[in-house]
Amino acid sequence: MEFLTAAIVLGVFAFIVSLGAIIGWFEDLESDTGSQSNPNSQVQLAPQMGVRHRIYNKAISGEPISNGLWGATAGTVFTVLWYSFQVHPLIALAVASSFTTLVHISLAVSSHLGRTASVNIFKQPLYLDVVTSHLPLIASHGFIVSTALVALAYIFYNVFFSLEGLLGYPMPIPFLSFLLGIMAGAVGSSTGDIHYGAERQFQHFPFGEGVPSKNFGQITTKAEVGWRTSIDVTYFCAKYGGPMAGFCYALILLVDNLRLLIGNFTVILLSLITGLIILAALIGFNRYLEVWARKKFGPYA
Amino acid sequence: MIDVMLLVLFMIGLGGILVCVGVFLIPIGGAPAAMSTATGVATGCEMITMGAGVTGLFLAAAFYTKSLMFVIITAGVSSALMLAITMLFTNLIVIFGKGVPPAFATKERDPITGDPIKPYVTPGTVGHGVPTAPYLGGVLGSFLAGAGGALAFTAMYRFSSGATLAEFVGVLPQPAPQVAAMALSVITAVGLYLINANIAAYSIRGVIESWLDPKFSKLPRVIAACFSASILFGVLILLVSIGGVG
Amino acid sequence: MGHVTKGAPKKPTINPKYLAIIGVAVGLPGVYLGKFSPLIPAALAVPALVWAADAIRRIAGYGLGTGVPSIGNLAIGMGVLTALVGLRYEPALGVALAALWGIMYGVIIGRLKILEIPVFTRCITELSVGASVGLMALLSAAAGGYTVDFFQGRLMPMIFLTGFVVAVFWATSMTIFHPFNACLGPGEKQTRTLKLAVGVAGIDVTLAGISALGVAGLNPSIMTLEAAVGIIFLGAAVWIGGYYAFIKAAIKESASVMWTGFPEAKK
Repeated sequence: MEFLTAAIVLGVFAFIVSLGAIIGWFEDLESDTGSQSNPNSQVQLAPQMGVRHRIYNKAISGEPISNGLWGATAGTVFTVLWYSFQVHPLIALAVASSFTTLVHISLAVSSHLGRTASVNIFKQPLYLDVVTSHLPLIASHGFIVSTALVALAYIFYNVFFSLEGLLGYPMPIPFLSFLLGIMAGAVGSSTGDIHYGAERQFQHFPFGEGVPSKNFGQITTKAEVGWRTSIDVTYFCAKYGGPMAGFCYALILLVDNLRLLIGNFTVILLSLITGLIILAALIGFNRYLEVWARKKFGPYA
Repeated sequence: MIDVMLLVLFMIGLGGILVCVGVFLIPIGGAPAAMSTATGVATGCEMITMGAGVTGLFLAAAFYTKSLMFVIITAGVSSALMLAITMLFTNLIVIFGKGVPPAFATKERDPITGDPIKPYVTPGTVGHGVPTAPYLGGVLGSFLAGAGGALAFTAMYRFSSGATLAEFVGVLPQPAPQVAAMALSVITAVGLYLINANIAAYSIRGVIESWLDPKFSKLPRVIAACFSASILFGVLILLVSIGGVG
Repeated sequence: MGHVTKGAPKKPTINPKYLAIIGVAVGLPGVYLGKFSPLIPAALAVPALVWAADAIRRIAGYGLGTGVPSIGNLAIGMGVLTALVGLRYEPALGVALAALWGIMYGVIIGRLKILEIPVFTRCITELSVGASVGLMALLSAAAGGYTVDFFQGRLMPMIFLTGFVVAVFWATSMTIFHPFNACLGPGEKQTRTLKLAVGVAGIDVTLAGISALGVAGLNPSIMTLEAAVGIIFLGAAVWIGGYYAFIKAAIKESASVMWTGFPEAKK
């Protein structure tokens, strides 16, 4: 193993993890800008409870599915330009992500308009300025997610064939970005969304207790100043939920690629053992955290 | 040839069962968990099972020549790590973002650690976060789900590249990966997740608290459904890739 | 993970039987006619996809216990391999297998009491066939039309090796479930949902056209550049047309539409 190869492997490894952090972070903020996935059920329920709001209702689908579509679309357009027409990868990346943004905006518009029209019997008005003011934010976050997904897939694909399988995976680029998108959506919807759904969406209820089901639909409609829109939600979730989702996704990629590297440099058994040790450490840390939280917060009073 | 085909059918059927048991073991809270109203991971059954499962496919693809047992276990550990990290961050956000400790209301005490757990539950909810007992269930469940997906992936890849029985279970002597067959195998594995995770999701109505849940007793019937559905799926796999796909 | 209203869906404006007949009668010949021009299957995939979106509407109205997307994904999971079998041997065989497998999945799920919905077996069969026909038409359009030795000669080296298949695969799933998921609610109307289904099917066709463009760049002998650009323009036209009709319908049927304003105070 030459020094130069080892240095390149480590550099690429660090780059993979940092791109992972960007994907998770922006994926979660994109879903908060428009309440996709689970917190969406409350936005949908609110007019039925007599709570009318100015929040964007972006019910495209579950996050893993929609992010898988962004990854698959951007990866396909990128491969068409880069592989079939030999366009420079950076230009192909920008064009691919721009086209994906068009698809993203279309689906975002149809879900807000469709869901609002379908709660017409509860007199929820359709505010067109909500649509126009949220779309740039949704599009920009989605653009960053699809760019990072395809960049990561491109790195995985090329590194596999140029470093003889030390890093990366032997799958076509659209497949890699598709699978990475599904993973990103699963992480974002199960970690970052809790910060929006449990805290920001029900902020006028006390901090430090779960949301009882009798409060369902009674979402917070007033912001720090004026009426709340989903832009205020993004502003709040960017401080904790989004970064944590990014951190989580980066950690998953770090552990997975670390095991791949160990398996390739030594024997595959060692990568298995490393995985089991990390798993035990995670279980231990979770237990410590649980005990610490119960001791610190005390029983419900 | 017949022996390899029977092995493929067996592997797909086993993969379906593993995915199904995996869904039952992963603590899934669905939409209520995102409001800290229920215990578990705050997303849908199929979503988290696929998210955890496809993580295993990456290593299954990278180690495509290694012996079958190693590929499956490595992929399973990958999925288990993915879900372990995700559940840990779920707890971090529930604890520091919402200010509630992980707890559930179905039992008085945590069956693994023996801690009293019910007093920490907010009235009107059934729990928050992922306490130790469901956490361990989730780690085991995602291991099984990841192994199931890797089984389908490897079965399709090796069958479509015409491996013999010894190459199937042992080391695959292939100098370079066949990218097209890899793509076909990913679609197969994703299809297996989509079918089995959804059948399991419909039977538990989208929410389950790992092995503590009373719905866990439904498992044998759902295993039967997933096994027969996967065998049907396996017949199609044989039809698509018999005689090689290159 | 939307809020699903319980109870049977309201009486539809367009009879689902007509949609089913149009979907199969138009989609399947479309696959065969691909040898004249790949534009034909691309255009004829749209009715099959709209039909599948209508089947989702009928089944998901009963309440599944989990999100609407799950049933669309189940459909694509069942449909994808039957579509590949169809493209490998004979497209008509693919449709027959999709129907047979759909019935068997429906019987398994119904008999083992996984999900007890009266129309489940019928709807799941329609979904399986619709997804299968749609995928076959779009994949054959992307690889220059269905001919002999299509699977080994064109599909694997052109669509699978490059990975273009995944965009069509996943966008078809999105086309099937997104219209109903986006229009979910007590005021859901069949005509509005199906207008959106046409629009999203346009996105799917556009993606097939982009894949066709990639194939044209790799091997001009099986796919001409003009035909690929033609599919993209066709898809874009369907996309824009469907969305235009949908947005007009949604704005007309909303409770009230205003450029800006505040909701009235809570009772």
